[in-house]
Amino acid sequence: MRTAEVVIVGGGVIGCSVAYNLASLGVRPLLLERRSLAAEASGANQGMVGISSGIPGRTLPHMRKSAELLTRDAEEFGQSIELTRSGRLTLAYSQGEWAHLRDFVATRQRAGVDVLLMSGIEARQLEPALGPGLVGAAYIPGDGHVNPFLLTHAYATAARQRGAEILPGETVVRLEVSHGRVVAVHTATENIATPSVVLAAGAWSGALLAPLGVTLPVYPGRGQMLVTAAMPPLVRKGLLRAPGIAIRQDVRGHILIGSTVERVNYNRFAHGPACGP
Amino acid sequence: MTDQRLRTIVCRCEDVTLGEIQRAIASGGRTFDEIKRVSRTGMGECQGRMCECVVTELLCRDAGVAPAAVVPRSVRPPKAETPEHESSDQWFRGDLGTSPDHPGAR
Repeated sequence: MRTAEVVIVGGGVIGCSVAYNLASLGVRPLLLERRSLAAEASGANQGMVGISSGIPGRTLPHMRKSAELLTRDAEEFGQSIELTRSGRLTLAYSQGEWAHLRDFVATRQRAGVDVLLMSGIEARQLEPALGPGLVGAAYIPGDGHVNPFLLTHAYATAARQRGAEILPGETVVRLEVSHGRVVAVHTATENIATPSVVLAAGAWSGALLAPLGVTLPVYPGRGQMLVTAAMPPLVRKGLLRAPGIAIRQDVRGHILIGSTVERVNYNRFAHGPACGP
Repeated sequence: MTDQRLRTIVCRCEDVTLGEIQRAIASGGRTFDEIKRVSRTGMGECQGRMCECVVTELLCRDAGVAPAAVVPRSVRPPKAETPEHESSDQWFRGDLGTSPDHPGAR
């Protein structure tokens, strides 16, 4: 039977960054991915890097630390991941949104995040393409965006260079537990003996834990986005937000506008204009 | 291989060259979708219908992927750009769906 020091289940950005960090520490992890790298949530998102996102006192410090580590890793990769920390504008178009935004800014400032509140006129000076009717905006200079495909692949490439083994097309079907400890990972074709498993299967992690009596409250959500043809720079800061919508222009000029959040289980079919009624 | 051959366009929709695909394979890509996400091959109008066989051939020949073990690519209909006024009408009519959790989300 094949053995591994650590088995990582899932080839998304979390699994690949864990593989990179373990390999950097001298561990030789084995990563198993059911489809291909960044095939699910890691490849279907807007690539936002938000130091101001997250819940103050809970996830906010993690977001700040993540952005810091991401910037450090980006320098070590030796290949571009299209990481831009050019800031983000969050827009308010009504008095209600403005009150909510002032509250957002106050809580972030109390947590030590650099956030500026500005008038609609000031915001339009930063982003001349914005239309009229803007009440005000919050500007977060440390926020930014990244190409999520390149990020996941950069972690995987750097992990491989440091001794990690990464296998796409390998489906983990079961975790074998004996005397309260994991002892093996069963794939469709073989059993791999291991004392440690990192479960990074995203919306599929719950299904592997359920037979062990562990309930993980993580569910899939479908998000649909519009993407434009590549066009000249329109969004100067690269990133805009308003309630229920986010806009990002990537380095090639495509503008991503989205997204929905829908509880439709694992259904990932788009039903926008491109696919008919 | 000569520079000229490396500059051969494999993906005509996104102008991806043989050299770029070989670099994606050299950095560890082992499936069509991985090569696509790194190089943009197969992300254009035809959604991989033209470049798939070349990329698959290179995966088998250069990366040692067994033909029987080739992971199938995600299949999408050919891409057609929708004029802005049509897509925004449908978007703002709400035809793209809303979430019970985030009724305001689009």
